[in-house]
Amino acid sequence: MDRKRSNQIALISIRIFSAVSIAILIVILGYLLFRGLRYSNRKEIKVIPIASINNEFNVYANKSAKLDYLDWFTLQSMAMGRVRTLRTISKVNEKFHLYIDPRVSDQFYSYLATDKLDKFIIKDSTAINYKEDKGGMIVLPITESAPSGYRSIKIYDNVVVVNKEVTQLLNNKKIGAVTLTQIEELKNNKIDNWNSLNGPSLKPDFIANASESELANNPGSISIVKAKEYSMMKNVETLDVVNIESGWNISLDYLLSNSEESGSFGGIFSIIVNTLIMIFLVILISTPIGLGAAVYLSQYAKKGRITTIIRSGIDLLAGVPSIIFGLFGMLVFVQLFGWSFSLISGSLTLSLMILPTIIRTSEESINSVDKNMISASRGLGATKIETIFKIVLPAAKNGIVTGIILAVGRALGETAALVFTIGSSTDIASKLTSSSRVLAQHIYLTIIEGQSIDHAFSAALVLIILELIINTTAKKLMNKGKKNGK
Amino acid sequence: MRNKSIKIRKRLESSSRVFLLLCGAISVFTVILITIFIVQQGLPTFKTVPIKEFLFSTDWSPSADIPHYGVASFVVASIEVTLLSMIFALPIALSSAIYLSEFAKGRFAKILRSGIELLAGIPSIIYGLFGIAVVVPFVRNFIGGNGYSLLSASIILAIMILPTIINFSEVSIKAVPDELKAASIAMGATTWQTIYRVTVPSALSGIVSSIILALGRAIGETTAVVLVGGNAPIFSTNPIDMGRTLTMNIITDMSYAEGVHMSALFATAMLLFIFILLLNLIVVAIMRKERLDG
Amino acid sequence: MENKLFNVKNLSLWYGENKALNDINMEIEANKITAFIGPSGCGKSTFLRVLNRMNDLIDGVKIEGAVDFNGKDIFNDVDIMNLRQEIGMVFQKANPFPMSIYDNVAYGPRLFKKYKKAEMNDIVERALRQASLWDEIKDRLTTNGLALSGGQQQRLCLARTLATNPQVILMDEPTSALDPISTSRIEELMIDLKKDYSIVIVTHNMQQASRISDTTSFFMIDQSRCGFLVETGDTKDIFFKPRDKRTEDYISGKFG
Repeated sequence: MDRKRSNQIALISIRIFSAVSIAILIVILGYLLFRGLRYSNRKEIKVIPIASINNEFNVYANKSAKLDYLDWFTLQSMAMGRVRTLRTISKVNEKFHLYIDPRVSDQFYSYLATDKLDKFIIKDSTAINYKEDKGGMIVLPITESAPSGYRSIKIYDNVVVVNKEVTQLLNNKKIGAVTLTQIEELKNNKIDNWNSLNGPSLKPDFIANASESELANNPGSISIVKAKEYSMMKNVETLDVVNIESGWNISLDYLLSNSEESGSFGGIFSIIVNTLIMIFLVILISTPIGLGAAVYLSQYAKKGRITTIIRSGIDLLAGVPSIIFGLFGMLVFVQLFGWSFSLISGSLTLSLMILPTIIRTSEESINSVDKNMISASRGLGATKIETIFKIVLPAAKNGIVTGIILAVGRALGETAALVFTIGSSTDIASKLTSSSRVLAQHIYLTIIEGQSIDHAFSAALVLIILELIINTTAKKLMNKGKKNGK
Repeated sequence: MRNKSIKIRKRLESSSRVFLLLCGAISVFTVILITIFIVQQGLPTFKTVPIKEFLFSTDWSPSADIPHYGVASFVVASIEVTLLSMIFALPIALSSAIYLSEFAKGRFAKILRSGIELLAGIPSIIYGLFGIAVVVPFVRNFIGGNGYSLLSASIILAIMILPTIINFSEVSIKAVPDELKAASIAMGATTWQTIYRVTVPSALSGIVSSIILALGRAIGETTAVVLVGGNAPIFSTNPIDMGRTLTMNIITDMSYAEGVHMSALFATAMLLFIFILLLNLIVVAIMRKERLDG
Repeated sequence: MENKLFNVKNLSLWYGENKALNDINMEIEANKITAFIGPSGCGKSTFLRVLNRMNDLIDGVKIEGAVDFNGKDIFNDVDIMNLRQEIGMVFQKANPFPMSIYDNVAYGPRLFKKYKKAEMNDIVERALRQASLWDEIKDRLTTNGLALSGGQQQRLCLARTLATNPQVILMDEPTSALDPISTSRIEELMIDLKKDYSIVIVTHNMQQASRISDTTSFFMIDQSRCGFLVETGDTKDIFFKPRDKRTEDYISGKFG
């Protein structure tokens, strides 16, 4: 009984441990999918992220501007002509243009408590091509509908104001940003003491629509006022509010637009193109050599020292870490041959790296070709090489192609070997000697250079999808080959 | 009708033989060239840096007034990370290998096999990214330290070497003759007893080879570890601390190194190369002993 | 003055250290069917392969002695590719190439010359007719050769060798993997082909040998596992009045 029990336990443990492998895979792929598709960032902003409703005008922005909301302060800066580009606002590299319908220009500027600037007021709307102006924003009466290609922008114009004592730094503690829920609780006096929010020990006192003096004279007091009112107050502080911004991380636009300024802006189209060019080069270089070696080992090599040496060479080459390939590529292709950081240096390095993979799988396929057919061809008078080209290689093509596809999959995901060989320009490579950047390496550089990690995830999603396609294609081909084989 | 000259066909035959031999030889040339170039760049280090200091000092400070190039902390970190990853990976990998070879049919086995293949196809940069987003916070919140640590690197590496160990071990386990297993069962042993008393010991040399091969992969991994390991060139045996492996050292400093610093990096590469060569030789020795013992 | 097709003198063959054929002497005549019989493993197939130098494809084979084809030494005086054009071979297991029937038959001739389409069509048709396959597949020449039945595949292989217009066709147990009906079809074919070609066939089927061959050679294997020729003669003589007792024993089934 004891043996039977331990047998059962052991077998169940084996199953559980094996299942862990699958669990890990699901977690990784799932997480990648999730982070790659949607981004969700916690930001702390000065205004309450609830849209205000305006009875007079609406604000619209070009869809390409990727604006979702604006806070009152930014809108005011824009109206004052202080915003030139959207780079810091929505991470889009476009010049900002403001258009104000003359019918609402007075209301707009009074809402923003600043002087009218004539240059933004539309004189002749037919002269403006709104759709083409990717950084365009327009203020229209609510009776008008948005130009095509534009969508409406939420305006947040409420701030949380508090007495100065609430935000003071006491014993290394200072109140941080508050969430919308906490604001509600403060409104309903559900929070007894500011110190539960990491503030000083004071009782919160919520005053609806307070005036400056009410706030200044009441320690612990808090109110919600319009940003415009706040801008004229002096003796009060604001609390930052937590805003979760989420949206689609990946889009057709992202995939099809070029990368700009080392990947800080734009999409990854140019990088994908570079990757494809590199793959093409790698296949071009490594296939003849790899096939040649495989044919030699399978059809020509005799048991002897030369064959052993060649096989050992292939095995050793397969074990060299990618970083060392990178160093080798740097010394030989970048420096010695003088090609500098370029597409060709990187492609050559990768070709050498995947050589063993191609050789091994090709040799296996070639070995499994029916030897009788080979004899028949020789018996009809064909030479060895003629037989190889006409009979052997066509018969082994499924296995050979599978091997190439798998090797390409490996090259696609390679980073360390490319960091010191291929360069880092995000432009589409114009010549073999152009510095260029490819997908996997781009993800690495994005992280290392501190760019948006959401960007890294979306690029990673593209990479993993490519890899999955490659793997399934290779498997399908391999199975087809097995079925057709004798 | 145009005659195809037999002479041309023969000429093609003999020249193709030479060409194909050259293709085969390219692998050998490449390995030799790699060795020569790396050594050529790395050896000059020892004109200024004594070998003892290089190998045994934990002081790596290339930018100090008096620069020091000691890689001992990196060696320790590399070994630590590799061994830890093996400890994490082994139970899962061996179980999967045993499961796949003993219970080869069935839906779960198919899923397991596909899963392993998929894991093997994930590029190291993606493992690194996953490490930053998931493993580092996990270590930070549940274990300690700031998350970027050798422990995080070990966890990621463990996942990466799973397919290697599983594939090779499975082959070895499958190669154990059925008669041995049948004999064990016939004597009344349970499945588990057969596995750990007969099957695994018989497949041991193959399993050990797979482990050593995986060790070679782990010690040579760069991209994933550099993103989660913390990259602090200090000596520490505590896995929660940040650390830097040999590979991390090379990729981090190479972009700005020059002079003796750069030679030292190549010397680091030499050291890495030697480690991997040793591991490969051990595998070859095991396989040869296996073949001789029959 | 008959010029013997093949004249074999003192032929011995080694696979590495092991002697496989010992001192074979024989003459093979043209336009006849010559059968090699004998117990399995006695080197009949090996000797057959000497005639078109197919043993050259195997590592470590050493040959001593002389083989003349139409008066010329096949090892020194004849170009090997021409030799294989003149001597065709059909194997035990049918091995059509994975291409269309047409391309299978055209393969051999295309190695040596570039043909115009019309010429090639003629060659393919002639070969397929001679192999008694034309009527069955004349309207599906583009189908893959592997899609044919076993017997058809073997006839396709025969057509393939016939396309190069050889003088001799060597056959290594061509019907041992076929059913009786396909077998008799191929046997009829062989008798028909005798008019234009010479045939040398290795067979373990004595009835087949006695049915179709003109000359029979009986091989045996000695204690050191080396093959040798016991006797050669007219088929009728070998089967009913063998000179050697060993032949008589074999024929009457003591060895089988």
